Amino acid sequence: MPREAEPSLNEKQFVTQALQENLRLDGRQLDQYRPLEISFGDQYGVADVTLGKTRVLAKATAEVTVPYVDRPLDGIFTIATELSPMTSPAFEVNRPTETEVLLSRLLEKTVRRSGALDTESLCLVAGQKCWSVRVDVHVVSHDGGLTDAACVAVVGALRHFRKPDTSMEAGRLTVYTPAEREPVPLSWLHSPLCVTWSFFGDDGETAVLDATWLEEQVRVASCTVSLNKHGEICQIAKLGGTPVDAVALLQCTSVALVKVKEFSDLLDRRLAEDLKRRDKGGFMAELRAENDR
Amino acid sequence: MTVTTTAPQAALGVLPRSDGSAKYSHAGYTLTASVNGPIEAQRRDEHAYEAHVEVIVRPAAGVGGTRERHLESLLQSSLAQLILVKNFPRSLIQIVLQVEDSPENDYVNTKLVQASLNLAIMPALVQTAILALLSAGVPMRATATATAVAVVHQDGAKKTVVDPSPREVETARSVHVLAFTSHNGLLLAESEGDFTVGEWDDVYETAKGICCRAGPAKEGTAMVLDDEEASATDMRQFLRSTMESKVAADLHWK
Amino acid sequence: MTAPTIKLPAPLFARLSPHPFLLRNLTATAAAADPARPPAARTNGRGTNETRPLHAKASSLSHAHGSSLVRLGDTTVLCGVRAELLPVERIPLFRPVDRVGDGERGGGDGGDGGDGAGEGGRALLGRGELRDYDLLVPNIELATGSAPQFLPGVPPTALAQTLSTRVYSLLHSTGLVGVEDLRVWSKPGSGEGGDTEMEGAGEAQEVQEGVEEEDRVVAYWVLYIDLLFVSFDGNPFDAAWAAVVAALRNTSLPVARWDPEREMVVCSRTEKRQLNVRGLPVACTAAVFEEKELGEVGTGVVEGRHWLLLDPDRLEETLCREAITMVVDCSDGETRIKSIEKQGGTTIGRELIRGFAVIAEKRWKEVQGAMK
Repeated sequence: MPREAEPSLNEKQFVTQALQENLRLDGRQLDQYRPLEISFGDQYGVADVTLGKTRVLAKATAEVTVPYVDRPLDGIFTIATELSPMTSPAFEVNRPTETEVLLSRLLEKTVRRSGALDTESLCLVAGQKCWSVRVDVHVVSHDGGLTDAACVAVVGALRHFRKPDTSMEAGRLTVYTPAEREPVPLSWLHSPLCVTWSFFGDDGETAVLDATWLEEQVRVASCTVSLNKHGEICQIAKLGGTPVDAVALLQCTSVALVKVKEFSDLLDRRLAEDLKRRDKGGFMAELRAENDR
Repeated sequence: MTVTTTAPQAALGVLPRSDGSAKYSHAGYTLTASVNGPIEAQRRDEHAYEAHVEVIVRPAAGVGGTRERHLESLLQSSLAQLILVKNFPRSLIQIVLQVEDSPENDYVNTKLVQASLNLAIMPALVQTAILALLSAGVPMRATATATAVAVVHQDGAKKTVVDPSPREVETARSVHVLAFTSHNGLLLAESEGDFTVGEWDDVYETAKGICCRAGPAKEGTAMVLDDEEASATDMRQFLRSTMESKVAADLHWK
Repeated sequence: MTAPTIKLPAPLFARLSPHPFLLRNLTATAAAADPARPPAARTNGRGTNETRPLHAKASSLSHAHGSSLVRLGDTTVLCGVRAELLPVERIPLFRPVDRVGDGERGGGDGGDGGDGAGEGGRALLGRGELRDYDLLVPNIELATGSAPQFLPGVPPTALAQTLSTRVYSLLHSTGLVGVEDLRVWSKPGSGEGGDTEMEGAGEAQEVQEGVEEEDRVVAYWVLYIDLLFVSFDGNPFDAAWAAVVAALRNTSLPVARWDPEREMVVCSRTEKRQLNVRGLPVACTAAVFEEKELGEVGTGVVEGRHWLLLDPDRLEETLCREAITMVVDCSDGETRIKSIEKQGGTTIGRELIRGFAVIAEKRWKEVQGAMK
């Protein structure tokens, strides 16, 4: 497959030097995000997030399956990330690249391991049946800031998602179709979001938020902080790169909290708007009314 | 149950980094396609005399299975006929189709991975691919339009439904997908269910009415077409107007 | 002056330039007035509308519940049907069905939406049982060495995946196997008597009196339909589909009943019940060979001549881009089309498809004879 062209030496120097002079190619402040936009699909569980030219799509689905033998009381929750050739022809189907592996690990740590979704609530019959919730992350367009955008998309999709309603009668499980009973939301505990800092300069003294793809190729180190709006840090990942001053990192996390609060508010607002849109009569509401039992 | 036949919507050039791209939504389906090409082909895909057309269909949820492979092979054989593959020997034209949203059947709990052929998505796939190819400026012999038609038996009466919903597909006696080139050639015909030659003929007429409304493609007919009231969905006219508005927007600076 | 002629042996000619080779063969009569030369034919000696005879042999495997061996010229397919019991507890999305509701549908599982949209919910669920619980599992393997293009140790080729999707879709859309044959009820009474009695709703009610537990489905038979291409010489779908139909017609399932004491399904060692196969859908494939090599299609008018080659072999398949497959069933006296798949070009239009229905009908009669 054709390889992506790396930025030239001139380009690299230009970008780095500009950043040291507090200038970015797109005219943003160093700690300014590109405009973030979230929209939801017609079906439940589809979130479309754009961050500048980066666009990530997440789709949540649920299915009844058999739980893992070692965790009979837990449901299954997976996040699947694949960078398709749509992002760039350099990516091949079924051949994960480093970017992809890192992205899926960060999302896994942020959303799954932080216990954002109550997996015990997904259990239906201990050891026999449980919900398997799966989020597919599709990177449609990649222009940097993939982790941050993907995390918002995953959290958005899961919070927007409704799984079919179930009931237990005399030991028999019934899964209702959406026509029979209104689907129910997942039991969601908190919304952790990622903020990625990129560091430039010889000692990584310039910290930049929301780097574009070009900036990402030039940066000397990066650090992803995941936290929720209550300021609880879920994970911090600084995977190698130039050493960065610890105090500077602390400063970064406090800025990250401000950003996460902004994103959380935006997400809450968009979800509320979507709910209102769905409530407003229309075809679906009509359908529901005649099938309410 | 009635189907709200919404007009198709499309946007071209939605992806900044690919050669061509399109987002298309119609009848509940929303897809994004990207086209890259001609680019360097891998050794195993390299043809000495023509470009290799690669089609990748990615479902919204789950990994692509046998069903997606079948859709890919159908699209591949159709699109390779339209693209002037001879112009680009030893290269690759890559078309990636990402399903974003598809209508769901409220009356069943669907499984994630399904093996059976999903004919209803075919028209959206064809349309999106064609729009993306046009946006990428890949030279083609002709464009194509496609539509899905279901024959439903209801209370003893036969009814043809255009762009059937998943529930209608489920109850239908037969489901058909037909694609026509802009020269009115029948490019693709997929039908399943239970029907007779006569029924298929009716379906053909209906589909042709949707896909080939514009009549024989001639220069200067565009004027007449604009006056005509687009009553129902007219796919060819839609394709044309989408391209026209894109070109107009691109040449805005002039 | 005579044009210099180079004499090439036929196999070498075919290897070097297959397209002109086939073209010459098809246009033989036009080129030569020599009466000694054979008439226009395909390289395999067949006429354009001539198929290879189909040979079907049933129960060729001793350990399968049903099997068949189908030969179509040099294409040989072996099909085995293995049935396994699937208890309903292991089906995640299981919804109980009652026998009365089933009777109302009158075995209309096969795809007539006669019940319409009114009392949709349950009837549709019954129709979807086969698909939702994955009761029919076809799998296709193209054996290494069956043709030069199949290499060992590679994941399933696109062709194998496409074929299995087509077989799977057709199995469901034709309703070849009804779900009532695959259900195992907790009460005996209708099971052994064959499936015709299963639809008698009255009988089910009779059994119900004096029993504390109601009649319910306890398990399903899952049919694993495995196809192995022993040798491959074109037209894989027709051969595969014929093998599936022949194997299913040959399938008989052990009589299974629910043992309330042990709470499990018990199968009879001796008693067997023939699987009910509805109709006889037959696939008929043709490929379009165009005079112009690497044809320029899509301009509406067909340039040059073209031939519709029925039942194409491997050489012909590599030279043709456009193909049509039609599945017909004439077992009710009337020709019903079950599927049309046409792709890859614009030569086949409406008239050709209409005409092709007649060819497919003829093919159906041939295959019906072979299946007996």
